[in-house]
Amino acid sequence: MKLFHQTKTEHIIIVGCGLLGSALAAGFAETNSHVTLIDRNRNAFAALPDNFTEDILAGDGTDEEILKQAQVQSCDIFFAVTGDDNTNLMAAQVAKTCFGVKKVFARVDDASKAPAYGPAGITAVSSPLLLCREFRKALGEEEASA
Amino acid sequence: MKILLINGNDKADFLISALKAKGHTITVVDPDYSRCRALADTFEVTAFCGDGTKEVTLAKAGAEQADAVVALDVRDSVNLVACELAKNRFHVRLTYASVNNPKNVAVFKQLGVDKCVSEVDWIVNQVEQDSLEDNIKKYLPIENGRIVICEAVIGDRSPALNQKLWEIGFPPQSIVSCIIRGEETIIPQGSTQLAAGDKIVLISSSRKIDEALSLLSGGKPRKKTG
Repeated sequence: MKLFHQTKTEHIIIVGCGLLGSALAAGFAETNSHVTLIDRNRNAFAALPDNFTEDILAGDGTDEEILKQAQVQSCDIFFAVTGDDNTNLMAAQVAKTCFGVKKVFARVDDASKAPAYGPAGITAVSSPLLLCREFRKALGEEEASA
Repeated sequence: MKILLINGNDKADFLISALKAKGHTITVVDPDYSRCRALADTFEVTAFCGDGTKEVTLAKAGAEQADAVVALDVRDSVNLVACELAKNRFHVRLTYASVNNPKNVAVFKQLGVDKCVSEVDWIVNQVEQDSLEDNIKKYLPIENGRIVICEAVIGDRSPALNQKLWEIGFPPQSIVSCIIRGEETIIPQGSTQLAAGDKIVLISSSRKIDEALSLLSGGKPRKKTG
């Protein structure tokens, strides 16, 4: 691995290539990171920018074999960001528990599901909660300037 | 037992009637309203319409008092999250998950689901059982098939016929636990001699079972993984 990615410092795996996954991947690709993007649907990769040269892998991100193919053993940061909470939680747990990935993040839109996974070392982020915060912040700024 | 059945699909029907017949109390959770209604009407069970991977749904369905949760969805991730929720949030003693991808059985166990049933594994085991030599009557996999108990009959052409157990040289991790000779049950010793018609109850790791059986039946050990 190191041989081929001498200049790359971190290996990042992203499961789910929707709006969020592709944006994350494109963002990390600009930094010095090696990104592997996994999606069950091959067509999803069409959303990536043309200059995206990182690894893509079509398969189920909760499947150990697929994760091994993505070299999860050498992975530093793992993101599970598909549109399905349960898929994300399962993929994140497989990465954390079975492969011992240090930093594991999961998109969990249903905020009530998130707290249970904190003790397991999974950072679960709820997008509706984030949007709420942003909306309120924007509203606050608007009212302050009015 | 009070059992919570999550996302039963078509399997729910049979399971509900079977479990009810054994005297268990069943509560169904399913996201499909019409299916909930149908199950409630047909089987006179309590049915809750909702997402079984959500805390509110499980709370409403009485997960707090449930003895067991059975998750039957076609998506493994749903079953995993439902079982975890039941275990961690509602302290349900037993969680069972149907596992569609057999590779996930190990993963589920590692993540704390008590029992996993993989239909694919089960069918493979059944085929295995049926394809074994005819003189092997029963084959019972336990611990997800890591250990098997099986019953073999000593036929007239068995290489083990009239041999003493110590002479047969069973592989390690396999043991003859019992010999049934007519009405008699023999707890064997190394010096016990096998006779035609003896039923041998063999306990073995699944890796060694073929080797052990071939010593009794004379067939060549087949290659087997896991």
